[in-house]
Amino acid sequence: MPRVHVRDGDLGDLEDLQVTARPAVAGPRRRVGLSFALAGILLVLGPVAPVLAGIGERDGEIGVDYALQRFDADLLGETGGRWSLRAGRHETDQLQWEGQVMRGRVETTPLPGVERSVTLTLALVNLVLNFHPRAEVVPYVLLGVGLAKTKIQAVGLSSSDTGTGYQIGGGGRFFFGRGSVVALRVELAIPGGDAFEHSYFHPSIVAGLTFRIGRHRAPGALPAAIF
Amino acid sequence: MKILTQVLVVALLPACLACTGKPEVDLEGTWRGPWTAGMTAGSLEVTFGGKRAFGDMTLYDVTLIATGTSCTSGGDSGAGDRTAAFRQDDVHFAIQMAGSAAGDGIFLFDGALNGSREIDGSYRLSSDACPACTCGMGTSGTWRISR
Repeated sequence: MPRVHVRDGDLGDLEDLQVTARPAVAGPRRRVGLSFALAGILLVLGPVAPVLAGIGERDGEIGVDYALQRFDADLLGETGGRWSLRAGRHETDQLQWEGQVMRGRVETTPLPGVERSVTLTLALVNLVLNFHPRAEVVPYVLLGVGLAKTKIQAVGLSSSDTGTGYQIGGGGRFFFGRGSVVALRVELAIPGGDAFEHSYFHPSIVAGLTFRIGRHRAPGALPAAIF
Repeated sequence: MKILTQVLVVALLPACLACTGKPEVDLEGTWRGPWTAGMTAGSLEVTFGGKRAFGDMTLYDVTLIATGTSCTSGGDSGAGDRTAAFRQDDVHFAIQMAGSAAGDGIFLFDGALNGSREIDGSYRLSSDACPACTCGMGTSGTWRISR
Protein backbone atom coordinates (compact mmCIF):
# COMPACT_ATOMS: atom_id res chain seq x y z
CA MET A 1 0.00 0.00 0.00
CA PRO A 2 2.47 2.60 -0.98
CA ARG A 3 -0.07 5.44 -1.21
CA VAL A 4 -1.54 5.05 2.32
CA HIS A 5 -0.12 6.88 5.30
CA VAL A 6 -1.51 5.70 8.60
CA ARG A 7 -0.95 7.29 11.93
CA ASP A 8 -0.13 4.87 14.77
CA GLY A 9 -3.13 3.85 16.87
CA ASP A 10 -5.76 5.78 14.88
CA LEU A 11 -7.35 2.85 13.13
CA GLY A 12 -7.19 0.00 15.65
CA ASP A 13 -5.63 -3.20 14.59
CA LEU A 14 -3.64 -2.55 11.55
CA GLU A 15 -0.95 -5.06 12.01
CA ASP A 16 -1.04 -6.09 8.45
CA LEU A 17 -0.62 -2.56 7.21
CA GLN A 18 2.85 -1.31 7.78
CA VAL A 19 3.43 2.39 7.84
CA THR A 20 5.74 3.50 5.10
CA ALA A 21 8.57 5.76 6.02
CA ARG A 22 8.06 8.17 3.09
CA PRO A 23 5.13 8.81 0.83
CA ALA A 24 5.76 7.59 -2.66
CA VAL A 25 3.68 10.29 -4.30
CA ALA A 26 5.59 13.17 -5.79
CA GLY A 27 4.47 16.63 -4.87
CA PRO A 28 3.04 19.13 -7.40
CA ARG A 29 6.41 20.80 -7.87
CA ARG A 30 8.10 17.47 -8.62
CA ARG A 31 5.27 16.54 -11.05
CA VAL A 32 5.75 19.74 -13.07
CA GLY A 33 9.47 19.16 -13.22
CA LEU A 34 8.93 15.63 -14.37
CA SER A 35 6.57 16.81 -17.13
CA PHE A 36 9.11 19.31 -18.38
CA ALA A 37 11.80 16.66 -18.38
CA LEU A 38 9.52 14.27 -20.24
CA ALA A 39 8.61 16.92 -22.80
CA GLY A 40 12.26 17.73 -23.29
CA ILE A 41 13.13 14.10 -23.81
CA LEU A 42 10.32 13.75 -26.33
CA LEU A 43 11.45 16.85 -28.18
CA VAL A 44 14.98 15.55 -28.35
CA LEU A 45 14.02 12.04 -29.24
CA GLY A 46 11.17 13.01 -31.54
CA PRO A 47 13.21 12.92 -34.71
CA VAL A 48 14.54 9.48 -33.81
CA ALA A 49 11.43 8.11 -32.22
CA PRO A 50 10.62 4.45 -32.62
CA VAL A 51 9.31 3.93 -36.14
CA LEU A 52 7.94 1.17 -38.20
CA ALA A 53 8.69 0.69 -41.86
CA GLY A 54 5.82 1.40 -44.18
CA ILE A 55 4.15 4.62 -45.02
CA GLY A 56 0.89 6.22 -44.11
CA GLU A 57 -1.17 9.27 -43.28
CA ARG A 58 0.70 12.60 -43.29
CA ASP A 59 3.92 10.98 -44.45
CA GLY A 60 5.81 12.58 -47.28
CA GLU A 61 7.58 10.58 -49.90
CA ILE A 62 10.30 11.33 -52.39
CA GLY A 63 11.96 9.01 -54.83
CA VAL A 64 13.85 8.45 -58.03
CA ASP A 65 13.46 5.60 -60.46
CA TYR A 66 14.51 4.23 -63.80
CA ALA A 67 12.29 2.48 -66.30
CA LEU A 68 12.68 0.36 -69.35
CA GLN A 69 10.05 1.77 -71.64
CA ARG A 70 8.65 0.34 -74.84
CA PHE A 71 7.82 3.35 -76.97
CA ASP A 72 4.59 3.32 -78.93
CA ALA A 73 4.71 1.41 -82.22
CA ASP A 74 4.08 4.69 -84.06
CA LEU A 75 7.04 6.25 -82.23
CA LEU A 76 9.68 3.74 -83.33
CA GLY A 77 8.34 0.83 -81.25
CA GLU A 78 11.75 0.41 -79.64
CA THR A 79 12.75 0.04 -76.00
CA GLY A 80 14.48 2.93 -74.31
CA GLY A 81 15.26 4.25 -70.88
CA ARG A 82 13.38 6.70 -68.73
CA TRP A 83 14.27 8.52 -65.50
CA SER A 84 11.77 10.02 -63.15
CA LEU A 85 11.56 11.98 -59.94
CA ARG A 86 8.60 11.75 -57.61
CA ALA A 87 7.47 13.60 -54.51
CA GLY A 88 4.20 13.32 -52.72
CA ARG A 89 2.19 13.33 -49.55
CA HIS A 90 -0.08 10.72 -48.05
CA GLU A 91 -3.39 12.30 -47.15
CA THR A 92 -4.58 9.08 -45.53
CA ASP A 93 -3.07 5.62 -45.22
CA GLN A 94 -4.69 4.80 -48.53
CA LEU A 95 -4.72 8.00 -50.56
CA GLN A 96 -1.69 9.90 -51.72
CA TRP A 97 -1.02 12.81 -54.07
CA GLU A 98 2.20 12.60 -55.98
CA GLY A 99 3.98 14.82 -58.45
CA GLN A 100 6.15 13.09 -61.00
CA VAL A 101 8.49 14.36 -63.68
CA MET A 102 9.85 11.85 -66.15
CA ARG A 103 12.00 11.94 -69.23
CA GLY A 104 12.57 9.06 -71.57
CA ARG A 105 14.48 8.68 -74.80
CA VAL A 106 15.00 6.07 -77.43
CA GLU A 107 17.35 6.33 -80.36
CA THR A 108 18.17 4.11 -83.28
CA THR A 109 20.98 4.51 -85.77
CA PRO A 110 20.10 2.62 -88.94
CA LEU A 111 23.18 4.02 -90.67
CA PRO A 112 26.23 5.70 -89.15
CA GLY A 113 25.37 9.36 -88.61
CA VAL A 114 21.71 8.79 -89.45
CA GLU A 115 19.50 8.79 -86.38
CA ARG A 116 15.90 8.43 -85.41
CA SER A 117 14.96 9.39 -81.88
CA VAL A 118 12.04 10.06 -79.61
CA THR A 119 12.29 12.11 -76.43
CA LEU A 120 9.32 12.08 -74.12
CA THR A 121 8.98 14.44 -71.15
CA LEU A 122 6.03 14.21 -68.81
CA ALA A 123 4.98 16.22 -65.77
CA LEU A 124 2.16 14.44 -63.99
CA VAL A 125 0.08 14.61 -60.85
CA ASN A 126 -0.66 11.09 -59.68
CA LEU A 127 -3.45 9.96 -57.41
CA VAL A 128 -2.05 6.91 -55.64
CA LEU A 129 -4.24 4.36 -53.92
CA ASN A 130 -2.26 2.32 -51.40
CA PHE A 131 -4.07 -0.86 -50.52
CA HIS A 132 -3.35 -3.38 -47.77
CA PRO A 133 -0.40 -1.30 -46.51
CA ARG A 134 1.85 -3.33 -44.25
CA ALA A 135 5.04 -2.64 -42.36
CA GLU A 136 7.39 -3.79 -45.05
CA VAL A 137 5.26 -3.90 -48.22
CA VAL A 138 2.93 -1.18 -49.46
CA PRO A 139 1.23 -2.08 -52.76
CA TYR A 140 -0.47 0.61 -54.79
CA VAL A 141 -2.18 1.56 -57.99
CA LEU A 142 -2.00 5.01 -59.49
CA LEU A 143 -3.62 7.25 -62.04
CA GLY A 144 -1.90 10.37 -63.30
CA VAL A 145 -2.63 13.30 -65.55
CA GLY A 146 -0.57 16.27 -66.68
CA LEU A 147 1.46 17.48 -69.63
CA ALA A 148 3.48 15.51 -72.15
CA LYS A 149 6.07 16.89 -74.54
CA THR A 150 6.99 14.61 -77.41
CA LYS A 151 10.01 15.40 -79.55
CA ILE A 152 10.94 13.31 -82.57
CA GLN A 153 13.92 13.43 -84.89
CA ALA A 154 14.58 11.48 -88.05
CA VAL A 155 17.24 11.90 -90.71
CA GLY A 156 17.72 15.57 -89.92
CA LEU A 157 14.05 16.45 -89.53
CA SER A 158 12.65 17.23 -86.11
CA SER A 159 9.24 17.96 -84.63
CA SER A 160 7.90 18.63 -81.19
CA ASP A 161 4.43 18.77 -79.71
CA THR A 162 2.98 19.23 -76.25
CA GLY A 163 -0.34 17.79 -75.17
CA THR A 164 -2.12 16.04 -72.38
CA GLY A 165 -0.10 13.43 -70.54
CA TYR A 166 -1.49 10.57 -68.51
CA GLN A 167 -0.46 7.43 -66.77
CA ILE A 168 -1.90 4.32 -65.21
CA GLY A 169 0.17 1.93 -63.17
CA GLY A 170 0.60 -0.23 -60.14
CA GLY A 171 3.34 -1.68 -58.04
CA GLY A 172 4.72 -1.95 -54.56
CA ARG A 173 7.15 -0.43 -52.11
CA PHE A 174 9.38 -2.95 -50.37
CA PHE A 175 10.98 -1.42 -47.29
CA PHE A 176 14.46 -2.53 -46.30
CA GLY A 177 13.68 -3.89 -42.85
CA ARG A 178 11.26 -2.94 -40.10
CA GLY A 179 12.89 0.34 -39.20
CA SER A 180 13.78 1.51 -42.66
CA VAL A 181 12.65 4.74 -44.27
CA VAL A 182 13.95 3.54 -47.63
CA ALA A 183 12.09 1.21 -49.91
CA LEU A 184 12.59 -0.40 -53.28
CA ARG A 185 9.76 0.73 -55.51
CA VAL A 186 8.80 -1.59 -58.34
CA GLU A 187 6.05 -0.63 -60.76
CA LEU A 188 4.40 -1.52 -64.01
CA ALA A 189 3.04 1.57 -65.71
CA ILE A 190 1.70 2.80 -69.01
CA PRO A 191 2.47 6.48 -69.40
CA GLY A 192 1.09 8.17 -72.47
CA GLY A 193 0.61 11.46 -74.14
CA ASP A 194 -1.21 13.27 -76.90
CA ALA A 195 0.93 14.64 -79.70
CA PHE A 196 0.69 15.21 -83.42
CA GLU A 197 -3.08 14.60 -83.24
CA HIS A 198 -2.54 11.08 -81.89
CA SER A 199 -2.37 9.36 -78.53
CA TYR A 200 0.73 7.33 -77.75
CA PHE A 201 1.25 4.76 -75.01
CA HIS A 202 4.53 3.47 -73.66
CA PRO A 203 4.40 0.38 -71.40
CA SER A 204 7.16 0.51 -68.81
CA ILE A 205 8.72 -1.54 -66.05
CA VAL A 206 10.06 0.67 -63.30
CA ALA A 207 12.47 0.21 -60.39
CA GLY A 208 13.75 2.82 -57.99
CA LEU A 209 14.27 3.97 -54.47
CA THR A 210 11.72 5.86 -52.43
CA PHE A 211 12.22 7.61 -49.12
CA ARG A 212 9.60 8.25 -46.48
CA ILE A 213 9.60 11.72 -44.97
CA GLY A 214 7.73 12.04 -41.71
CA ARG A 215 6.96 10.37 -38.43
CA HIS A 216 5.40 7.07 -39.17
CA ARG A 217 5.39 5.83 -35.56
CA ALA A 218 4.62 2.45 -34.18
CA PRO A 219 5.08 1.51 -30.52
CA GLY A 220 7.62 -1.15 -29.80
CA ALA A 221 9.51 -0.76 -33.01
CA LEU A 222 13.21 -0.17 -33.09
CA PRO A 223 14.47 3.40 -33.37
CA ALA A 224 15.52 4.54 -36.77
CA ALA A 225 16.59 7.76 -38.33
CA ILE A 226 13.89 9.78 -39.98
CA PHE A 227 14.18 12.65 -42.37
CA MET B 1 -34.40 35.84 -94.82
CA LYS B 2 -31.56 37.62 -96.55
CA ILE B 3 -29.77 38.14 -93.25
CA LEU B 4 -30.22 34.46 -92.39
CA THR B 5 -28.66 33.47 -95.70
CA GLN B 6 -25.70 35.76 -95.09
CA VAL B 7 -25.20 34.31 -91.60
CA LEU B 8 -25.25 30.78 -93.00
CA VAL B 9 -22.74 31.64 -95.71
CA VAL B 10 -20.38 33.21 -93.17
CA ALA B 11 -20.76 30.19 -90.90
CA LEU B 12 -20.04 27.71 -93.67
CA LEU B 13 -17.09 29.59 -95.09
CA PRO B 14 -14.49 28.22 -92.61
CA ALA B 15 -15.67 24.67 -93.32
CA CYS B 16 -15.24 25.22 -97.05
CA LEU B 17 -11.76 26.66 -96.50
CA ALA B 18 -10.86 23.58 -94.46
CA CYS B 19 -11.88 21.39 -97.36
CA THR B 20 -9.48 23.18 -99.67
CA GLY B 21 -6.47 22.38 -97.43
CA LYS B 22 -3.45 20.68 -98.87
CA PRO B 23 -4.12 17.01 -99.54
CA GLU B 24 -1.81 14.51 -97.86
CA VAL B 25 0.98 13.41 -100.16
CA ASP B 26 2.28 9.87 -100.13
CA LEU B 27 5.79 9.39 -101.48
CA GLU B 28 5.40 5.67 -101.92
CA GLY B 29 6.43 4.57 -105.37
CA THR B 30 9.27 5.15 -107.80
CA TRP B 31 10.55 8.61 -108.66
CA ARG B 32 13.04 9.42 -111.41
CA GLY B 33 15.15 12.41 -112.40
CA PRO B 34 18.61 13.85 -112.89
CA TRP B 35 21.49 14.36 -110.48
CA THR B 36 24.46 16.64 -111.01
CA ALA B 37 27.79 16.98 -109.26
CA GLY B 38 29.70 19.81 -110.85
CA MET B 39 30.24 18.86 -114.47
CA THR B 40 29.15 15.28 -113.86
CA ALA B 41 25.55 14.28 -114.32
CA GLY B 42 23.38 11.20 -114.43
CA SER B 43 19.99 9.81 -113.59
CA LEU B 44 18.43 8.74 -110.34
CA GLU B 45 15.73 6.23 -109.63
CA VAL B 46 14.44 6.49 -106.08
CA THR B 47 11.84 4.11 -104.68
CA PHE B 48 10.02 4.77 -101.43
CA GLY B 49 8.22 1.87 -99.75
CA GLY B 50 7.34 0.41 -96.36
CA LYS B 51 5.43 3.49 -95.25
CA ARG B 52 5.28 3.92 -91.47
CA ALA B 53 3.90 6.69 -89.30
CA PHE B 54 6.30 8.50 -86.99
CA GLY B 55 4.63 11.35 -85.17
CA ASP B 56 3.81 14.00 -87.74
CA MET B 57 6.34 12.46 -90.12
CA THR B 58 6.20 9.45 -92.37
CA LEU B 59 9.11 7.08 -92.61
CA TYR B 60 9.87 5.01 -95.69
CA ASP B 61 12.36 2.40 -96.72
CA VAL B 62 14.31 3.79 -99.64
CA THR B 63 16.32 2.37 -102.50
CA LEU B 64 18.32 4.40 -104.99
CA ILE B 65 19.91 3.61 -108.32
CA ALA B 66 22.27 6.14 -109.87
CA THR B 67 23.24 5.79 -113.49
CA GLY B 68 25.03 7.95 -116.03
CA THR B 69 27.62 8.09 -118.73
CA SER B 70 30.27 8.67 -116.10
CA CYS B 71 29.60 5.36 -114.39
CA THR B 72 32.48 2.96 -114.81
CA SER B 73 30.11 0.07 -114.15
CA GLY B 74 26.37 -0.21 -114.74
CA GLY B 75 25.56 2.18 -111.90
CA ASP B 76 25.57 2.69 -108.16
CA SER B 77 22.83 1.45 -105.92
CA GLY B 78 22.07 2.06 -102.28
CA ALA B 79 19.36 1.49 -99.74
CA GLY B 80 18.20 2.38 -96.26
CA ASP B 81 15.70 0.85 -93.89
CA ARG B 82 13.29 3.53 -92.70
CA THR B 83 15.89 6.16 -93.53
CA ALA B 84 13.53 8.39 -95.49
CA ALA B 85 11.60 10.96 -93.48
CA PHE B 86 8.83 13.07 -94.93
CA ARG B 87 6.97 15.92 -93.23
CA GLN B 88 4.82 18.45 -95.04
CA ASP B 89 7.17 19.63 -97.81
CA ASP B 90 10.44 18.30 -96.43
CA VAL B 91 11.96 15.08 -97.69
CA HIS B 92 15.17 13.76 -96.14
CA PHE B 93 16.63 10.39 -96.88
CA ALA B 94 19.86 8.53 -96.40
CA ILE B 95 21.28 5.53 -98.19
CA GLN B 96 24.39 3.45 -98.03
CA MET B 97 25.85 2.40 -101.34
CA ALA B 98 25.99 -1.34 -101.92
CA GLY B 99 29.41 -2.86 -101.45
CA SER B 100 30.50 -0.20 -98.97
CA ALA B 101 32.27 -1.09 -95.78
CA ALA B 102 30.53 -0.18 -92.51
CA GLY B 103 30.61 3.57 -92.15
CA ASP B 104 31.46 4.25 -95.80
CA GLY B 105 29.35 5.24 -98.78
CA ILE B 106 26.60 7.05 -96.87
CA PHE B 107 24.79 9.81 -98.73
CA LEU B 108 22.26 12.23 -97.25
CA PHE B 109 19.63 13.68 -99.60
CA ASP B 110 17.66 16.75 -98.45
CA GLY B 111 14.83 17.96 -100.60
CA ALA B 112 11.60 19.87 -100.76
CA LEU B 113 8.40 18.75 -102.35
CA ASN B 114 7.47 20.94 -105.28
CA GLY B 115 3.78 20.39 -105.81
CA SER B 116 2.95 16.77 -105.26
CA ARG B 117 4.91 15.22 -108.10
CA GLU B 118 8.43 16.66 -107.86
CA ILE B 119 11.16 16.83 -105.26
CA ASP B 120 14.18 19.14 -105.61
CA GLY B 121 17.19 19.09 -103.36
CA SER B 122 20.83 18.59 -102.71
CA TYR B 123 22.90 15.70 -101.50
CA ARG B 124 26.17 15.19 -99.70
CA LEU B 125 28.43 12.34 -98.79
CA SER B 126 28.24 12.16 -95.00
CA SER B 127 30.87 9.48 -94.57
CA ASP B 128 34.57 9.93 -95.20
CA ALA B 129 34.59 8.25 -98.57
CA CYS B 130 32.72 6.01 -100.98
CA PRO B 131 35.21 3.52 -102.42
CA ALA B 132 32.33 1.50 -103.89
CA CYS B 133 30.94 4.42 -105.92
CA THR B 134 31.53 4.27 -109.66
CA CYS B 135 29.44 7.13 -111.06
CA GLY B 136 31.39 10.10 -109.69
CA MET B 137 28.65 11.54 -107.55
CA GLY B 138 31.42 13.10 -105.51
CA THR B 139 30.89 14.59 -102.09
CA SER B 140 27.94 16.82 -102.94
CA GLY B 141 25.51 17.71 -105.69
CA THR B 142 21.92 18.39 -106.59
CA TRP B 143 19.01 16.20 -107.57
CA ARG B 144 15.48 16.47 -108.84
CA ILE B 145 13.06 13.58 -109.10
CA SER B 146 9.46 13.36 -110.18
CA ARG B 147 6.78 10.79 -110.85
